[in-house]
Amino acid sequence: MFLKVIFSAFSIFIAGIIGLIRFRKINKMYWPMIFVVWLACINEIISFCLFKNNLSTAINNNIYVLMEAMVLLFLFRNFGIFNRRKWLFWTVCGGLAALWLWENFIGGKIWCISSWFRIVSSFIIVLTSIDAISKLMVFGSQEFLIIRGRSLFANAAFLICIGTIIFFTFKLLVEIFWFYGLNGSEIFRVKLYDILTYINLLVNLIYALAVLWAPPKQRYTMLSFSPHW
Amino acid sequence: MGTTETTIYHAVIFASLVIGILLTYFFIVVIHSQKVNVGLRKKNVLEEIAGLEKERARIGADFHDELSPLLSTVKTRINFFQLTNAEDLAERQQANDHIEEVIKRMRQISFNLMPNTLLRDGLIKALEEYVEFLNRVHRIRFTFTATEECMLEESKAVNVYRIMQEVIHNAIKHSKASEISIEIRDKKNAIDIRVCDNGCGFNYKKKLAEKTGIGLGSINNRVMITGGKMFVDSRPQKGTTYIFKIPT
Repeated sequence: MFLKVIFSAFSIFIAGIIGLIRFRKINKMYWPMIFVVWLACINEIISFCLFKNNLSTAINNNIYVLMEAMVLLFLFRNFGIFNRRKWLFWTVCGGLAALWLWENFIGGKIWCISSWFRIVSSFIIVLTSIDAISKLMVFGSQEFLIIRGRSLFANAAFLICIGTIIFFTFKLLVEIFWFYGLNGSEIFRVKLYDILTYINLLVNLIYALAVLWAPPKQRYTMLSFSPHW
Repeated sequence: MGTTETTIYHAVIFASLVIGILLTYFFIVVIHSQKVNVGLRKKNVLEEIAGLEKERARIGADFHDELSPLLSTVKTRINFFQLTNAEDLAERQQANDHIEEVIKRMRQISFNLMPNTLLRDGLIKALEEYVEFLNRVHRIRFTFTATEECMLEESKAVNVYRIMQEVIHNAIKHSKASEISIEIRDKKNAIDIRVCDNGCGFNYKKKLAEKTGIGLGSINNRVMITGGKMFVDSRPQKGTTYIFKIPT
């Protein structure tokens, strides 16, 4: 069980290494995805070290979930999800940051897991992912800089959205159960974490493919497309 | 219910509610995307067809207004020559006949590209003229019946005319029919068009799926941008009936 969890958690390093190799080649629009992957890698290392020393991983995980949510929202902003409602992006980011601060410093303690923040941020990320997929279906390659003619499963934006929908929907359900105190039963907790391990592994591999197929930088931009002219 | 059951029950209710909201949002987004997609497709087809019609009208006008008078002038100038030799006279007559044929053919092409009657007198008159022309040049018997008035705006009238051209062209080319009838009825808020032939028929769905010709696709696109509906009834050896309902 322990080995399975470690293997699943550290599978994010596949995406991390691909990101490290491709970082300079990838279009800036997709950089937040690389940052999310690297953040996850750092968090896994810290969590592993803390776990080995019998220390709680709540603080680093609480900080990680905040950073992950913010960077993912930036990625979706790059995808143009908030184009028509720029104020919404800042409202969502501000709201999430306020919720995190309240839950970790006012309403609760930072060394306890912040369930409310996890529920709300997961919910928002799933909603924006659904929006991104619909935009991808309508506007396709133009807005997401995807190479035409490629299969949808070689489409970085689509893979990222599918990955986030799968992972955060399940995470949302788990957090709701924890919120109601159902983690009191050890068997139930272990069984859920077992499923989460497989989902985490699957999503990490999807992220690795997404980083691998993220579109390269545009060599030049036509004048008519540049907003600064 | 005990305390544990109540907690589980509440957790399940909350989780179901959240999943329900996500699914509802997903369906709303899918429906919205579908609408946007249809709108974009319609816009693209509209722009494409508008460009095509503009170009056709320009080429038609060039044929009619520039080349035809030029050829007529050439013909007049040829006839100014004072020829006495019988051989030369015969040669001039042949040249005259060729020029006459070219002018006639150019008028036909110009008419096909953009009939002036359509813009001047409306759809019914243009179709009448078209059917008259078809009866002159083809062995197939064409009949045309229509109500007096047909209240269609110009762009829709052009599209309906093109649909008719395409349907009739398909029937002439593929159906082996001996009779083709065209009927137009002006109904409240719409016009009904029925085109029937007694030819060999075809499998509409199969032809549309094959995408071998642009004819049926073009008819579908034009029907879509007029906001109308199209029904095709065709069976092998039983002829084909097209029914169009075009809103006015």
